[in-house]
Amino acid sequence: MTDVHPGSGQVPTPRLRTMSVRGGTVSFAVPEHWVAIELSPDGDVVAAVEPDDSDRFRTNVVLTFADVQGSLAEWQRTTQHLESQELDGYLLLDHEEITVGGHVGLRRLTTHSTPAHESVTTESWTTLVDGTGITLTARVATLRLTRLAPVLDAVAASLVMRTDGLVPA
Amino acid sequence: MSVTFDASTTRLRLDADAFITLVEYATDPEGACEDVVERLSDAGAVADGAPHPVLRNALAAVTSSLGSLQVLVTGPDGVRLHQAWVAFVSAMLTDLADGTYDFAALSTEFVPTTIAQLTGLQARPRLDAASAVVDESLLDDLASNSVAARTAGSEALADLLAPWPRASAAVRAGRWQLSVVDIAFQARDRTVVRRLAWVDVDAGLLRVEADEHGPALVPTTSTAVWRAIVSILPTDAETDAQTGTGTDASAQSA
Repeated sequence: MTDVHPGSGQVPTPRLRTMSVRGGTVSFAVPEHWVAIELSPDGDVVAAVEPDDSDRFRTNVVLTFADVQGSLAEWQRTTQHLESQELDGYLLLDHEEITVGGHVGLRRLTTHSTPAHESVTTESWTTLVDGTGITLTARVATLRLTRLAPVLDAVAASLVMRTDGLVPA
Repeated sequence: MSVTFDASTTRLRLDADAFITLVEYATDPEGACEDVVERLSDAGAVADGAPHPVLRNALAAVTSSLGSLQVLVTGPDGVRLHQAWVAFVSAMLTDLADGTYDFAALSTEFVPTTIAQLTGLQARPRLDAASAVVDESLLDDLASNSVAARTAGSEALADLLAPWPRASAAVRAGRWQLSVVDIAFQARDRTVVRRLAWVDVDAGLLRVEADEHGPALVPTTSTAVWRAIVSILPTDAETDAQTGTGTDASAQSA
């Protein structure tokens, strides 16, 4: 299980369904009406995005795997540096050590401007298991955060990793 | 005081008199103070009897805003009071603490980002759960323009934060800041007023929360503050979608 930020409101969360990857060793839940996408043929990047029912930014959750040399902290420093260089208006709002999928991990909260000049808030939960970096990233239009924060909290809390190791991609 | 304006970047820096005159000039050119209009004209901010076209969106936000927003940031070194007007396209008057302000249009969905930047919102250590009842007068002292009052307020704040020794020590070392965000807007037939206030002491963040016993300082996180900043803005439902930003109706925290 994953530590999440204390709930921000009483907004009901939608029904969730579970997405499993890497032979079921990693799973997380997303709203059942969201669209599941496998962004890489080897299953190293899977995502779910809310339906395309307007021209607004579509809230999405992406799970990525990466081979990592070095420690979790070093890897995250590099990642953060790259994001701050590449993303317009990048602002690191919060970061903390937490439990992610039952492992020592990090949570970060950032905001930036998309190429379409939308303000997006990004929350990510990261851990490192046997040299594999696992990151669950949720992105939401900033002005919709109040309504969607409980959904993102529920998605993060659902992230589970089997304790007997990850199945390779 | 000077007025500087760069039309290519839309950057306008001016003093309070010049700003007031510019707004007057946008609505009633005949009534605006001629001397100040001359300064605005010399800088290129007004021309041919009207404000420069690149200033129209920002001035429209001021003259026909849905709501007004203030961001007060106070600390040992002084007090800054930033002003924003929330509209379809918003406007921000940023206090530079030297008697001048930057005035610019601002996409409404970036108002939270701007507040975060103005208040220096960032990750802070977590403080242990507890709360400290705080007197309104202490908050007034912290927000005072008087150095003596702020100094007295910070000493009282350090005492108040005794349950969190590192936070108390940070205040005594001069590392404290009070941020207060106020917004007022019309929601159909009523005026909605919301306030969000927090103290940043480097060693942690404490939100000012009020109940029937009065205000109290309660540990919080920058994530919670960010969510609270977003939630005090008017929703589309409250303003009949006049902000046009797709803001969802939702539970609000006052």
